[in-house]
Amino acid sequence: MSDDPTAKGGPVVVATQFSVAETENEMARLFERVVQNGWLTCAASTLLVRLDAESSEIAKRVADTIVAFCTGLGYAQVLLWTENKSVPFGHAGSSNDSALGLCEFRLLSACMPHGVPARMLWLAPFDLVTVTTLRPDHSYGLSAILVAQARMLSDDRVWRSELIAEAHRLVRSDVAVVCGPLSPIDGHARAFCALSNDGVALEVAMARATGVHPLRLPHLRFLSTQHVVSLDPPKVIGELPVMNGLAVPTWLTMPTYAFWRLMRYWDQAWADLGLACANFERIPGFLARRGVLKRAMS
Amino acid sequence: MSRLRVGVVGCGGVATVYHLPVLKRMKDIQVTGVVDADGAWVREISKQFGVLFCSSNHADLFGRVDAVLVATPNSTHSRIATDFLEQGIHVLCEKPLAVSCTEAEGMIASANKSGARLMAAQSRRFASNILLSHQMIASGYFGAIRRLSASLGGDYRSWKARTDYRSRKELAGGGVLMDNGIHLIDLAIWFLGSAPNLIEISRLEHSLGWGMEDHAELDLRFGDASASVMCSYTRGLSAALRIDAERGWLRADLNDSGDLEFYLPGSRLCRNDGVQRAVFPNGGQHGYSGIWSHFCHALRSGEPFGVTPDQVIAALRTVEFCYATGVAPLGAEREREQQ
Repeated sequence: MSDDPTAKGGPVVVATQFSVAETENEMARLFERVVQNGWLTCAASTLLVRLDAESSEIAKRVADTIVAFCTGLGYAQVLLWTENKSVPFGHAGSSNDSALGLCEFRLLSACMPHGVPARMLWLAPFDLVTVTTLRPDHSYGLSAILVAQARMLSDDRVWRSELIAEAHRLVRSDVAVVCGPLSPIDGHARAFCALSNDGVALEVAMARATGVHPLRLPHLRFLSTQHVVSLDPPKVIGELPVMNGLAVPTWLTMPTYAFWRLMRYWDQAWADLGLACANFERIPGFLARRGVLKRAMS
Repeated sequence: MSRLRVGVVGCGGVATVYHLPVLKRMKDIQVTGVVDADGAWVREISKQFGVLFCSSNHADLFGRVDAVLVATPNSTHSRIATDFLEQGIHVLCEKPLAVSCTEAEGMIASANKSGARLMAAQSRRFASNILLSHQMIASGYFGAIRRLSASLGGDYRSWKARTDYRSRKELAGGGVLMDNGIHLIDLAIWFLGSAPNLIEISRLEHSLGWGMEDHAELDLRFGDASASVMCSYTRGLSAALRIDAERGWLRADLNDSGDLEFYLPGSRLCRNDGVQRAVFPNGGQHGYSGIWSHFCHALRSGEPFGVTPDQVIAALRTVEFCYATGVAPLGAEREREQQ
């Protein structure tokens, strides 16, 4: 494997196209390579495979195959986490619900006004594989791995760029997998799958495959202002499908994105006003307490 | 569900600044009476907080309340709390529960006899950041605790206190160790799950001339783990709890319930971005809000209190041990004597 560029540690995208009937065999072959190249450390006792909620049937089969393949890798447990189905997970003394459930605290963040809601789950050590489907998105032009990661931080349906940046900071996947169906060719349903050890590299590769420059995508542009990331074309092993026209055109994403930004700042302004009002309400109580103390001192 | 009728005995700083504002905000509690030895003062407090009944005699609350807060000077806790317990009235007693283990054991015995319930108001435990820290440690994410350090202190003269009972030994029952130190010792016992098996007094200073310590530093051993406790009336110390465990560390501010820093190298959160800082909605729950919510919930549900008699006795025994063995102060008075 010494000639394999995936072994050298840099961001690499491995892509393949296959017949849907061959999904299991193809994914087993790909993941064998992933493991050999050390993308999964296997140091943690748990492997968590996260299947994004809005994924296709292909993605579900891919996720199932990854779980089945990794079960024999030496992990104490390999778990599949889907949107509506919680998996058994947790340390001694903690219930599964409390491990997966959102905590009462948020993690302080430079991007989000009130921080990012945290799950007890994130305190545990584990390897993470995220599986999602490539699809068009009206806010961002394209939804791939970065949006799927953001979805893990919050149940909010509005995927803001800030959340994507925070997800990249906090819950970056060890292995990112994007897949989807291709048009039937010669009567055979075919699919593609691309995986990488770097979510941003995979997102960039997907953008280029759909004929869009990464800087035209608002979330990638925002991410590049928050993190040191490369938007250059990554090294691709294998063949990515040509998916020109899949991404929502920029003339449509720009106003949608602008609208969400406006809503975001409107929300923030409204929240600030609420805080100011709450503080005004506290003033009489504060003055009264101060008066009581002064009288007590005298 | 009817509201819990609560009385407040002792309307000093801690009651008027912390407890009463919290009690007035709680929907399932009704403050039905306030008591203070100063008649004029208690009338003013009752007006300010809209409490209909006030008195200078705590016995006047019998029959009017389901539970009381005892926030009088330390040496009176035992007598007043026992009076209420004997009447079947639940008691939340400000810390220290009593000024000696014997008194505390007598109070617990009274509670057991009457069926009323007694809890020490170790409010620091119930702040959001401390509760979460305990949850994280108890869940096993950090592994076993290796070392716990807690400190709390500042210049006593800058404190806004209604009376100077802390400087009078017959009322306070002890110095800073009995006042602030008991919080820190209690946290160590709670986090480490047992009473200390070795107590070393690093420093006890008596520089204010009250005849009681005003600065204390202790090292406690809990099996393989150790705890360092530092409290002071004379020095500005960081109000912080820091826990070093097998797999990481965490640090909680004792004065800001919304602040918690932690580092767990293996965890998903810290693996990519190092130390994490947690914030809580609305600044987190203050310890006084937390303890009243807990007290009220435990009374209604019949669940045990979070602060157990064993833990309270263990903390008091630690302080008593320090007073018994640390008679020779290492502070200014001693140094002056030697000179």
